[in-house]
Amino acid sequence: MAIIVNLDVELAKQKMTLTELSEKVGITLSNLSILKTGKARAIRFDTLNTICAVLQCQPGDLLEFRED
Amino acid sequence: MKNKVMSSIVMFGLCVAAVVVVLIGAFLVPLSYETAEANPTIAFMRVPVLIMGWLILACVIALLVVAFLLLLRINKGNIFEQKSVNLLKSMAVISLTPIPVLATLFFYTKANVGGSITNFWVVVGVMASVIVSIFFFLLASLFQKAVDYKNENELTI
Repeated sequence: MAIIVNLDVELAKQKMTLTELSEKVGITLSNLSILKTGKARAIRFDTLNTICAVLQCQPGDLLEFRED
Repeated sequence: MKNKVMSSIVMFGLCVAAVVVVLIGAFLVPLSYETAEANPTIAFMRVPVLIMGWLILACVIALLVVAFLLLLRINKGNIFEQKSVNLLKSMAVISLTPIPVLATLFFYTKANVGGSITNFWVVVGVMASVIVSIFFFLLASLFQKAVDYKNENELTI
């Protein structure tokens, strides 16, 4: 897929685990795992908003477009 | 709970239908003997026509078995999954399988018995098979759409 989710990079910057993020944003670990592994088909704006608020980053830090 | 009761009733209905089909299969044997005795000139057709009748009933039994498997999945709550779609598609294909047998029966009867009423019922059988098959194919494509929507919904975080 051309859109890459850099959730692991942002998590590493914040020294946070996926479980901690899951507790803070109120999204299940399995859903966050789907997002992290790039299996997600779409992301809701409110989910993006919550993750950005918790990780103190911009949507552009989380999502990246790469040519196939 | 209501759905479970309903599907249990349908399951019971399927079992009754399967028993009825088996009984019809057993009833075909004495019927074939009676017909052969009443029409000695076409007595040679008894065994081939009997086998064709059993083949058609076997298709019906196979359809009932797949319907039973689908109902089991519905009872477990695994409705909108790819396997349900595959089961519906196989039901559609099974519905089409009696057509070659019916066609053979049609030509066999036409060649040996002039103006037989059997051919009318064979044509009705072919029509019924096609209609049932189209119905199952439609249902399968509808289920496929539902499965796709479900997957997309599940993968939207």
